[in-house]
Amino acid sequence: MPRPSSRLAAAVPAVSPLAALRYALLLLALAVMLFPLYWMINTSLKPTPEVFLDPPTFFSENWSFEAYGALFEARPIGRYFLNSLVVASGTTVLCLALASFAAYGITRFKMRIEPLVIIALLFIKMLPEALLVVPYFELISDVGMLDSYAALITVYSTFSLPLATWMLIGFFRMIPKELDEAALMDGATRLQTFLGVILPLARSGIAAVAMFTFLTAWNSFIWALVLTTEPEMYLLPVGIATLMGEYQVEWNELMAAAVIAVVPVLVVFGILERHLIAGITAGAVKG
Amino acid sequence: MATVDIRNCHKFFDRVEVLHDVSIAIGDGEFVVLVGPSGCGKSTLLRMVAGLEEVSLGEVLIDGALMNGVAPKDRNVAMVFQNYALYPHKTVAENMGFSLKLAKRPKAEIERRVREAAAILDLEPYLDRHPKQLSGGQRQRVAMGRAIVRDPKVFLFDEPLSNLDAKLRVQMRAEVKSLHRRLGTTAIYVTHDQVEAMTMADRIVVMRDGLVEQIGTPRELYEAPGNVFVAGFIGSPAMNFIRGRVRLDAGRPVLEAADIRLPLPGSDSLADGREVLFGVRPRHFSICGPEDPAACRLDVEVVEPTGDETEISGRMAGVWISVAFPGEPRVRPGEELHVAPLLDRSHLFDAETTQRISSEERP
Repeated sequence: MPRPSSRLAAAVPAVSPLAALRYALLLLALAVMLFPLYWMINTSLKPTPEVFLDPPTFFSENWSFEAYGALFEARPIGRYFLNSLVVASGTTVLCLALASFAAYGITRFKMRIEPLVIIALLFIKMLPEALLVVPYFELISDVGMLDSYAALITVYSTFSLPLATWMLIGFFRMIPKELDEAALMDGATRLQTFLGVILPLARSGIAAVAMFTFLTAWNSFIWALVLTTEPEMYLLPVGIATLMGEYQVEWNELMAAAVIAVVPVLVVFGILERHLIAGITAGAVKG
Repeated sequence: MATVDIRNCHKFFDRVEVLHDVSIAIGDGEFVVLVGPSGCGKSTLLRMVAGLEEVSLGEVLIDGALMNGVAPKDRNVAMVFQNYALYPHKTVAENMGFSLKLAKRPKAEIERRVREAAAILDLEPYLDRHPKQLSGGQRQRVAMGRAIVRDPKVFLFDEPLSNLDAKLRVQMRAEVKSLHRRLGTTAIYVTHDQVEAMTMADRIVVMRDGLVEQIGTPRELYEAPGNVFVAGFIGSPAMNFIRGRVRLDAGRPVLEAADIRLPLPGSDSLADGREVLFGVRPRHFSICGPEDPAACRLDVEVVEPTGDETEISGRMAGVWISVAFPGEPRVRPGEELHVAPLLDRSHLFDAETTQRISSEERP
């Protein structure tokens, strides 16, 4: 006997009230998260007189890139951007190279003080950065490295490295040691094992750490402020901060700068996010 | 093809000695199974042959060449791991060809040898798949394929079948064995499963607590176990032991244990009063009447028919004894059954040293 009602139910999946509530809450959370981003873009596109309109406009017919033009005229924002990009990328590469070797060594070779090393990594991370501002400044200025990429990259790396190593230890531990041993039995050297078997499997971990390190370096304000004196060498966060005038703030220009600063973050996240899916090691061992 | 010589090997982890003076000589083309309960050091010994563990003391020789301190890659041995250890990011073909690629073999040769190995193992349709798209048995075959493409001197197997279900295990057991027959490569195989050991091995090395208990062919271990441990470990269902004392009755030795009096065949060199363990396998009993001189009373508690035979367990002389008979004897729990051990198939061990009392002592 045909039962049209059940066929209808199959075509249109029923949404239980609980599921509906869950989606509503998720959408609400999404709106809360995205609103500042939207407001930033919205403000950056408004002409100056419209910024302080009351009530504020959520969409304006006068949207234009005027503020961006003014910003590029007023400041070497391109240069700030480049500085930030060099420092953040440099830090990421240096950190990943060192941290992956360190994490491989710690997870693959027997070491009596291993727990101590791991706790030390965390402990270093607990030191407040502000505590180190003066000594680091002295150190860097004594060796004449102020206003240099090398100094910024080194200092950022010292702060990112412990946590990067610590995170990678977690990822490397999930890769069964038998894979190393299988590669060794297959005739690989330790380095070949590391590069050919372990690194590709730790891809999601590497991506996560890369993202984390890049964003930390990209956002870091205090070191960029302390270690650079030449406006030429300002990084984006510092450069943006200088847009805050003593008497007035060009909000649309400030927001335009913020948009420029956020774009790489979104790009990096967009590229690496799909690598963050866990389970790449599925199938390596029994299951 | 090669011989493997393990000479007086010791292994220490920190200060704990896990292998004590192990010596095993393995002939060219032989299939040797290391068997023992978990923690007996069999895997450690295998890994020492592989080069994954250092030899603390002693020597490992492959084909007469000393291997101590030689890196695994320079030993030309292949290993199959318990959890397969396939590279999840490589296809089946890449997994199998990895060692040849590392050895910088020409591409055409790699492809040919991978195809040959795949043909032997029925893996041809799966060469482009990734390990996670394969079933357990297929993964196991890829792991073996990875070992055979290299044409190594020695195959090492570390409990390769223990992750498979029972049915597949039996099938793969036969496949490994027939593979060995075809290739003829020396193989060392580690397992905790004595059935695997019995069915596959040319020779079995029984290990316990880092010591070799006995080395011999499956037949030898079954017929003449060297001590109580080997006797109890080899054979299924496991051997029964009755502790008793030798009494000389008019010059003839008789075993006395609780209400049991068993004439011990032919042996007159056994000292009066010697404490012994009398061992007999469940299948080496016959049903008899209470008047039989060798009759022992079994207070039946469990009856387990398995189809072809029935396993009957209960108490005899205060100890738990299992006997097995073909068919379905009519006996129920709570009843008494009189059985007689087949004396010529029984075993006698010294109760103190647990060593076999050799047949010279019991002519």
